[in-house]
Amino acid sequence: MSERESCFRELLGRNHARWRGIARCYAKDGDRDDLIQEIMMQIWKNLDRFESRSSIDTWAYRVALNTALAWDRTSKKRAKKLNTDATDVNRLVGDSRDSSIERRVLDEFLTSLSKTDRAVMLLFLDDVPNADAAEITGMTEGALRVRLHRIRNKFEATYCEGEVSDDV
Amino acid sequence: MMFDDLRSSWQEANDKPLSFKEREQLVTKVCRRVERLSGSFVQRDVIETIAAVVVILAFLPLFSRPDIYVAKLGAAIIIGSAGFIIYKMHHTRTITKRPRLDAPLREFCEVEIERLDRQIALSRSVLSWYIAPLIIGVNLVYSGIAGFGAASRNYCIVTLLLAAAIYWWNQRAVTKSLLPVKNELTNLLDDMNQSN
Repeated sequence: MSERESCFRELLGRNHARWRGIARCYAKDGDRDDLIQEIMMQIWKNLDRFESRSSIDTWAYRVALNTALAWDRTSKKRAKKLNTDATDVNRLVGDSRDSSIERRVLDEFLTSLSKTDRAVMLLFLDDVPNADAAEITGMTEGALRVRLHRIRNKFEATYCEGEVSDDV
Repeated sequence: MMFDDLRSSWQEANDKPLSFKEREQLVTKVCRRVERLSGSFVQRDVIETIAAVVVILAFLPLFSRPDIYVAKLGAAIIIGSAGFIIYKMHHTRTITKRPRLDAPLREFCEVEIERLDRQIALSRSVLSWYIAPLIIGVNLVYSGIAGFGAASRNYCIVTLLLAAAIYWWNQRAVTKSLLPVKNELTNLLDDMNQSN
């Protein structure tokens, strides 16, 4: 087994759940496996570019997020070609077979966010440390905190009936 | 439901451990896709080169025929422009860096916008570097051989219509494909800049 292959296997073992989450956030139900495969392919292809400046997991997250955003842009074209219902935002994310209300609310909320906010929210959900999140997005840690605070307020105003948190 | 509870719900939903077999299958699939993709890039370069060689070989024999100076001039323009088109496309592909996928999101957007700008400029100027030299060349070749009669006039009209269609198709690609992506990336970048 080559060094690249063993490194990739380790990455896959540690990060598959995160990649699955990213795919859930940016691809609709039937396209998710394709997006996960695209993410894995891009990580494999780019592995020799990893320069150990950050942790390899943070690096892989950057690749995965950029791949998902690029995928999201081309998915509209694909959807048009296939004449599927791409304009129904509630069908862009979320698992239609998922009966958990909490998950459905989360999927609905993610769909309502702008792409930048969705990425910030995703980093929060995946428990990515603030410094790593700043490195992944290219935004400052302060800007990320402010943005997350706004997202939190939006969520609480929509789903928590007046229980708005004040912490930043 | 509290905001902080979303984290555990999200992680629980996504955290389905892969079995050894699933992992092996995924790795195999990825390896195959990478192989297929690298093959298709080589294929595109080969097709472009073959097309250029075919054009050159098709028009080169005209230079051995006497007394068709206008056709020879047209053939020279076609051969020159075929070479230039290959150079221009290859050059644009190599100098226009694709954004590094491992770049921070902001940098990724900036480089992608720059790349799209180059592609848009290339498509908008397609008349000068692609369509015009070829249309002028083929019309000179045709008129040089068939003479400047009605047939040449009709040929000219047909090639001009073809040129208009190619030009229209390129401009449509800019409006329908490239500009929407560029606008979306610009909005994403603006959105990120607002909070910094």
